[in-house]
Amino acid sequence: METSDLIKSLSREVKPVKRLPSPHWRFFAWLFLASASVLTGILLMGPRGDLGARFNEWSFWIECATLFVATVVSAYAAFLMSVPGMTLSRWLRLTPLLSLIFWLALLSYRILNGHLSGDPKSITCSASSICMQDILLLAWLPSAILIIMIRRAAPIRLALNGLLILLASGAVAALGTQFVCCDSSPMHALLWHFIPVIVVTLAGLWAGKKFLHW
Amino acid sequence: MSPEADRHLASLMEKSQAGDEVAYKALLTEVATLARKYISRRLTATDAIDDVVQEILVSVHKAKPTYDPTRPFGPWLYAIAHFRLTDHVRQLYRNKSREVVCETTENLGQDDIDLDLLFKNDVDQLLGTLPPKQRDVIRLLKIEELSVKEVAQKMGLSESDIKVSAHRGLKSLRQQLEGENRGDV
Repeated sequence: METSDLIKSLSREVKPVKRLPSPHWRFFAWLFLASASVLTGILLMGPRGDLGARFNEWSFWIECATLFVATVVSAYAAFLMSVPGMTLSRWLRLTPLLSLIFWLALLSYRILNGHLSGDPKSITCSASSICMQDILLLAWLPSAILIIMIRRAAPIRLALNGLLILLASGAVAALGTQFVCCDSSPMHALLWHFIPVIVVTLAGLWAGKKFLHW
Repeated sequence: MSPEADRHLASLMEKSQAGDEVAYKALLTEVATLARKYISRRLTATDAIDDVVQEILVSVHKAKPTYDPTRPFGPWLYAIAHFRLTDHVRQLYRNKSREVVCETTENLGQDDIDLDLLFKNDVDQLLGTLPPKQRDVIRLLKIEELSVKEVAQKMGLSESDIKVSAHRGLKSLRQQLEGENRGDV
């Protein structure tokens, strides 16, 4: 088919289109839905019994804040990237990675600190994959919603967009798991919270190419 | 692209989003010229330039709702053009590896297998994996060799709908074939 024929055909079919809401609005809509989904998940799974005691620990709040930052920044970056021509500032590109590095550093510090102070709890953990299942359960709905919302736009860096989508979903799920998991050992958090989030995030490279192509 | 040209294209796109056919035709014509310039500077295979330009036009058509008229048009357009160009180059490399696989299968003893039957079964099987609309469009266009207009009339759909369905269906088939070939290699 000649290009001129294609132009004629496309222009003949033109209809008024509803402009896509700005990435900011779509991001807030997703954050609301993801929060509601994770909160529902926490209530269904049942919050941990020692939640009151955990609220008094600084490390709990720092971990929650780190995961919240990772969720917000990666989801926001994913929405911005789904619109052609939008550029990400350097801090927006680096913050998701930095928040993961910070989380790893925090867990490593707690393990090392516990080891040096002779606390056996810091280096032992229950070999439980339940937390990994919880993360996957809590992540699937936010990630499905995010993929659908991003697909409605026009993503052009598919692998990176997929990575950010699954990082946002994995981080919000890990944040929810903080309120469900009964094991406060940093080694447990490293093996059964941090590593599953990394695996889920890396799976985003494949998922982006698979589900975001248009 | 000069700021004036950018503003002109942005206003054409704003009118197109409102459903103005004349503005949309003018916009697509200018987009085709810009895309051709952009692609021909980066692609040496002249026969492929038209294909990529048409891919860009279809992408602009699909991504129309994502354009915000308060933002410059150039970066939006060139981001799409770059995406389609990269896609095309990636496809080219994949096809080259498929050609190698095809060459090796040509050396097989043809008496051993009924290639026509194998081909027909493969095509039926592949088409069966597509959604019904895409399957019918491809069957009518590529096997029964009807024109886009005839298929549109036969299926009671618009011509662009047929083109988009064919485009998606063929892409999906291509991806499946590449998947199989990667498995073979």
